[in-house]
Amino acid sequence: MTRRRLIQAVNPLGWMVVLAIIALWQLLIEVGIINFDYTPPPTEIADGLGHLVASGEMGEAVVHTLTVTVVASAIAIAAGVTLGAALGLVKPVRTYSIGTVDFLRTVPVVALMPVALLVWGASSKAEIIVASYAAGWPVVVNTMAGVQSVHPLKRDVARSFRLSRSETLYKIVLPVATPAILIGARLAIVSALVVAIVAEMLINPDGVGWGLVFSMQSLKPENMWAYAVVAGWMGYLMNAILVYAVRRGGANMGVAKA
Amino acid sequence: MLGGKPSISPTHPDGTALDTTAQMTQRDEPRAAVASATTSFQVQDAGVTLPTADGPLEIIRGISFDCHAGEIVGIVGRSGTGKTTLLRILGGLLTPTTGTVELEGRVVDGPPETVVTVFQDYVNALLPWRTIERNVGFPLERKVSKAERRERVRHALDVVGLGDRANDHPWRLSGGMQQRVQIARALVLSPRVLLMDEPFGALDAITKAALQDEVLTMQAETGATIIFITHDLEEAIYLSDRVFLISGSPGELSHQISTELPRPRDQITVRESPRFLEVRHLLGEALLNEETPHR
Amino acid sequence: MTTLKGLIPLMILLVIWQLAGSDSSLSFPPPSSWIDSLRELADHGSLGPALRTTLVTFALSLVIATVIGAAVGMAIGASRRVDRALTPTLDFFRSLPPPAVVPVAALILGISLRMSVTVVVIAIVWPILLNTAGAMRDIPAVRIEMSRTLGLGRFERIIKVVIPSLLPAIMVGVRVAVSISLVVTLLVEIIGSSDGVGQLLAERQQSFDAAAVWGLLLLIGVLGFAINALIAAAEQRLLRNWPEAN
Repeated sequence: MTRRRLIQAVNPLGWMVVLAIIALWQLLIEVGIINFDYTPPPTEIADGLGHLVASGEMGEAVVHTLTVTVVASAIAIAAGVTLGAALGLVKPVRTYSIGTVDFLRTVPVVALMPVALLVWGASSKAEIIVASYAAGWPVVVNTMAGVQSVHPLKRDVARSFRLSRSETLYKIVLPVATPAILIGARLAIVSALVVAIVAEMLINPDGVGWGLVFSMQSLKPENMWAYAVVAGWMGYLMNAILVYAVRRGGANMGVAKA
Repeated sequence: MLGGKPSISPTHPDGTALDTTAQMTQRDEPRAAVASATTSFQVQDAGVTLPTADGPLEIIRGISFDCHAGEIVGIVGRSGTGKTTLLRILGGLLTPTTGTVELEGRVVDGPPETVVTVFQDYVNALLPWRTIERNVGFPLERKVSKAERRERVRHALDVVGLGDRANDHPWRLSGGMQQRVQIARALVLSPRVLLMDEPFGALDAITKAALQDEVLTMQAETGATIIFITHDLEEAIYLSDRVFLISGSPGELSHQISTELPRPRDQITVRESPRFLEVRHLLGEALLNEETPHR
Repeated sequence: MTTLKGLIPLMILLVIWQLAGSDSSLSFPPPSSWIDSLRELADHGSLGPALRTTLVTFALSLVIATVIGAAVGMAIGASRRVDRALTPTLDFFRSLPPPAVVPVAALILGISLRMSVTVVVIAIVWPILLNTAGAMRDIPAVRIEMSRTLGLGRFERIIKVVIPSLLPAIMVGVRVAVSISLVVTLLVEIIGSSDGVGQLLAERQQSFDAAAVWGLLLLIGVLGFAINALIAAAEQRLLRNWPEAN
């Protein structure tokens, strides 16, 4: 029975499939069934990755992208919670700006890149600004929804205890909205990563995104694949950590949220 | 018949093949004259074991009975005794791990065309995106003409008293109404066998009584065999020719009681008749005396 | 009306910008000059074809991704074993940042509409696929048993019971896919192809034509807003009979 549970948790079959796909890929190239110029076998990609790691390029790229992601997420969450709370709590603000918010958040972020490049040049600043912009909207939307979901009864409780407006906000409204805000924050961090990579491809020659485009342009497919795999790992790990953190955070708030 | 000695036949707890045969001969005796053509279900030593995360679990064991066409059988028993599993093997939705289920002499190895099951979970058994009318007409699509379909759907909806809700969606109806839609959808096929899993559980007392009588009327008109599960002992007695008690874990057919109540039945006189009360007493006693299930 | 009220801040900003901005600004040319640039691009004959290419790429990718995502998702969700066997692989693709696919696919597939569509499909198919697979797992067993006891064949069951049961989840996936799709379509055009609004944007930016860049941003913004509104309306209409949309 415990063995069953262990198999359930580790999923050996699933990981065997992953290995099988990699082995098949290698085999197809060795035998010559696939012969694209730009599809190196896994062994070559591993070599490329090894060289990039040894030379320190990969490490630098990952650190740069992660730093931008973290900084942009922090800005996005701080600004997003403030704006979202204002939209959710103050009716006139909502009425007279929700259309603007809806318009701005549907602007495809790629279209902002050339503008950012014109205004701020090819810099990390431009990258951070664009990433924060894109990451902010999920926080705004989730915070607004979370704040609005506060039950009227809870407000009555606050009034009967004669809490001041700011006390009500900090002791009642924000705690109730926290699970929704956490989910918004998770989405924000994930989109900050994605947009940082796009910005590195288009406007700021640095980080994992630049590594991808640079190795494409210099026709080094094994490096490009290595960067793509690393980008995948970054997304995978970040997602796993965030899902876990949000679940833990939500549990501590006394809310069962997946 | 009325007021005769109640026939109650306890089954041996471990339904071995030998016991089963003995029990069947004994029970088949009074109906020896009944031709095999009118036999509906013949169930022999049926058992079901299902795999679970904690290994195989035996749900029901050694169930044997047969019932004739046009009979109404009510199944009662505590929760977790495998009543629904029994109904599923009768409906061909589940193949028994041991033993056999035959319908009109043919082994059931999938849902037979002449059998319709009415599920307890009416919310999921109806298609929420279809209107009531299109839910009820659903099984007739591509089988009969549009005009005939409309006619049969309207008749079935009238029987369950929902003629005026035809264009509503199920999720706008109360639980009891949704269950009536499901019953209408079964009736529209004029099945020879109707299997129902707690069909009236979600209804209020008055609707329940009305629908019980509808089922009896429908049965008298069509001669369908009806096997149903209920938690309401009085409902089981009022509707049934025989009441089965499933008990234990794994569930076994521990008692069968012939109600021997005359038909047609009347809600008030039947429920006050001495025979009704007698059966009620026997059944209550049997339920109380059984062992508490371990699960 | 409500939408118009909500757009007031944006309007005010544009008006102030127009009044305070100078035509000679290299970064912030006034809005009127954006419109002039757009008109110029249109007259020049480069805006129309670019817009068409972008919209065709977007729409074609979305349709193909929806069909493939729903079909494969159904196949995966139908079997617990297959589902478990593919979970780590799919998890990787789901969390792979979609733009990372673009250079890889661009290099392998070359430059063409087919390549653009393929890249976009690879990037956006995951939310649809995973949502469908999840919904497939969650179809109530009773619903399938119901179709069996009522005598439905396999094909009829898939068409009348399974697909309608999955529709709300597929639409959730499509909505996510739409928002990624515009981004990836433009990205593909900028780094991988020689056509489309994305390419036009990159080209204008490289020649420091700020008014055109802002104008194209406005155009793309309106496009994104309209497409999202369209998809939301389509979803509302499609799911009007489903309890999820009510």
